[in-house]
Amino acid sequence: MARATKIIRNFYRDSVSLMQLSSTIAKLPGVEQASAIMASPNNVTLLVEAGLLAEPVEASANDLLIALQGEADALESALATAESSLKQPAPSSTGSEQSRGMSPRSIEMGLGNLVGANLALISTPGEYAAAEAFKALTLGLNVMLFSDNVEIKDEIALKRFAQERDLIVMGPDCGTAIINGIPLAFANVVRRGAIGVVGASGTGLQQVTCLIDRWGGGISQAIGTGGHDLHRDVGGLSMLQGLKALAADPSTSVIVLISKPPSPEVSATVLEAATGAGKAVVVNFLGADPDQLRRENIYPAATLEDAAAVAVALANGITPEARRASVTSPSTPSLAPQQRYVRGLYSGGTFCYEASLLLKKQLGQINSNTPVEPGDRLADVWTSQKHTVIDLGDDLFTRGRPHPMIDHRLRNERLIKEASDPEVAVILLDIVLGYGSHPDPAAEMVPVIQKARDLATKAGRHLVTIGFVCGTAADPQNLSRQETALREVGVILAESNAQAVRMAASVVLETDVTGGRL
Amino acid sequence: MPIVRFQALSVGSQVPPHSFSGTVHSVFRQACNLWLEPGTLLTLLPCQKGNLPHGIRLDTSSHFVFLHALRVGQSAACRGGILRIDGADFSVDLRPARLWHINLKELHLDLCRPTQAQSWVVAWSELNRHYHKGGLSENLRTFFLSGVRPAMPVLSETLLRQGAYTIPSLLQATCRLRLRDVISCIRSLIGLGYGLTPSGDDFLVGYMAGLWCTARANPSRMEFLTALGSELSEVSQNTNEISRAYLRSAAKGHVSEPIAKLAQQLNQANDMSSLRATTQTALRVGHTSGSDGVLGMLLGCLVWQGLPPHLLLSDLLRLPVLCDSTSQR
Repeated sequence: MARATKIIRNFYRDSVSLMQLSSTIAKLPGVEQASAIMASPNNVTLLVEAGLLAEPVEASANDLLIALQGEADALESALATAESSLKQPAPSSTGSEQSRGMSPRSIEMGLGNLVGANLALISTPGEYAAAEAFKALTLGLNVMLFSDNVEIKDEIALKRFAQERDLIVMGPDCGTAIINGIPLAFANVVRRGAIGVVGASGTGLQQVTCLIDRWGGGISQAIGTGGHDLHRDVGGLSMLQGLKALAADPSTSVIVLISKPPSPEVSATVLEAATGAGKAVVVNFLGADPDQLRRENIYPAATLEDAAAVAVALANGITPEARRASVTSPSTPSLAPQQRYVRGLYSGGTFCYEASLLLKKQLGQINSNTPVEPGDRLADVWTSQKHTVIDLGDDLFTRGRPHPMIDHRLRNERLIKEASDPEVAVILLDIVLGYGSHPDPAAEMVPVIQKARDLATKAGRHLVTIGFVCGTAADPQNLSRQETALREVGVILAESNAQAVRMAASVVLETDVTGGRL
Repeated sequence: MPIVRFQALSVGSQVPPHSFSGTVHSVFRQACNLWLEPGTLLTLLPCQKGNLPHGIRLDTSSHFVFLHALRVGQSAACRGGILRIDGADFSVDLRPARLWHINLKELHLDLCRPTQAQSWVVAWSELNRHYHKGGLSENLRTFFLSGVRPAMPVLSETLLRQGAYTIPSLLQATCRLRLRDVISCIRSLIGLGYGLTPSGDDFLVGYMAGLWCTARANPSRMEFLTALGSELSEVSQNTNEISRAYLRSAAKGHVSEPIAKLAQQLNQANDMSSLRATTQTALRVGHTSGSDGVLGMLLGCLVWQGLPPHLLLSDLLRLPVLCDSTSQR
């Protein structure tokens, strides 16, 4: 008596079908015994004991095992019969196949085409954004709200609505996030790792995530909250939700929080939540007193660069030492005596704010359209005064035109204007790479930087240009090519904004020393 | 984009309450299983089917066939109470669904009470009137009571012996709260037998139900059952994923509606004609799943009722005859 077996992996049929199959095959000519049975260990043993199997077979409990005993000639065709009767007609393809070709015209249609989605990125004019965000939340989706000009009452309502459903609203005006390794909006391609970041600042998130990547660390998630989140009325709802998510995320071991200083109440709430996160939390509230932030598991960081460095150290199991601000003075030709001022032309708002903070400590008053102190506000944003740093991404400059990370014309014009000012010593620039940014910023900037330097040279001055590239080697713009092009035109590149700012300050201070004006 | 939106009529207590994601695991004419990480199975059912602890009943038309609408491997996700399946013509609105839940642990079935004992006898009688070819109850009766056993296929014979030797040991070990021995018996039954949910598994699901609804009054039994449930979840790795879902629910005291309703009716013991109908409904599930489950449940109910374990099966299997003859007198 011969035996034959067939194992069909991960195959399920209802019991009646299996019994019918066994019965049908057993009636075929030349078949003595037949069994179509789930291949659990007990059933395999059973078949061996019953003589339908010579020995146990390699199969899992999820496999269907057909075992036959009978005349050798008959078994092969019996197995073929069994297999063909198990073939299932393909499901009908009707509307859904057709609808796949249609562009979704609503969030719900989009969800119909991508059923596993759990996040909606909303970028509509601000007046419509809240309504769309409510729709998305009602559909069970987290929201990244790229749109700005959303009223604060709507932001509060959205965030409370989300919190009740254990969802998060990133934004409004959230320009950066990296979720499950996917850069969203203005974000960089970073290595994945154990550091999770929650930030109320887009370029702050970009700087920290890029530096972490540069220094060998990796990002689990980077969650934007929008710039108003830590406002007293909003209460840091998104930062708290983000913190909660990262605290629960097994792939995150270190958390970084980034913001301008929140209101005292919000700061207390966020720090209390961070203390309870059960993980090391690095806090960079730009401009805040680190001693006020310090807690058992909280590591204050004075700059974005520090935050990244501390996070990488912690993720590597190293207790971070207090970092000392290192200043590398660039070697530059002598400046004319009247060249005394720094002019920062930023596309990133947080870079601009951080520059103001750091420069103010060293150079005194720093004028800006987004000043650290109200008294430092520029009277005319189109005209720099003494030390000035400008956030060219501010609403004042972007009405009716693209953001300066995308469109460099406005900054280029301003660069030429600053270069024409005989009192300018240093031009400070940020160059932001990653998705969303200009595909080749160096190509846009290099001719203009060259022109600015030529203008200064013709006037008998040397213009120092200091910058930093916020990007990673995996970004689509090709980091190394960007850096090379900028260096070739004389731009001194630092690793971070903080380093670039310190360099700029040192050039000016050096000039003061050599010029004897201190 | 889905064309039809079904309403969920009811969802079982083991269905995740919030968002979830998964894939279509297996499709049948009247059911579809979704596999959710990390190892949960959800079952979509048409309106005419009974509830499951891990089931979602839909307001489909009676002729709706899942096999024509879905295929294995499609992505599925529930967001905001709407379940969508990639490429499917339908979505499911879970928001209006009522929660289905019968808590066996809250029942207090005590067969020392005459009315509940009578209800048990009625259900047992229905089980033995039902003809289930290949089922454990049929096999056990044949094994213990028939003077001359009819010839049967070798496989059935082997299965019969396995069940016939293991089940009495299981009852005795359970009666004495010997966890290790009970697990040993359960290992012999898991994944054993014909069917998508093998007979041994169906029996064990019913058996756990019977134990849960008679354990309430006794803390040591509750403690034993909790430990047994935990072990059963582990041992269930030895059967297929669909059957495992039922075993894991039963380990926590959750079973399908036909068995749960039978437990409720046995507990209430106030309407014998309704009890008969409920028993018949439970017996009609699947090919032999219903009878194997009812057998397990009725034996599970008996284990802690003070009956001498060594007399159990042979006496019990004769019971319908005794009962019928008693009622005729």
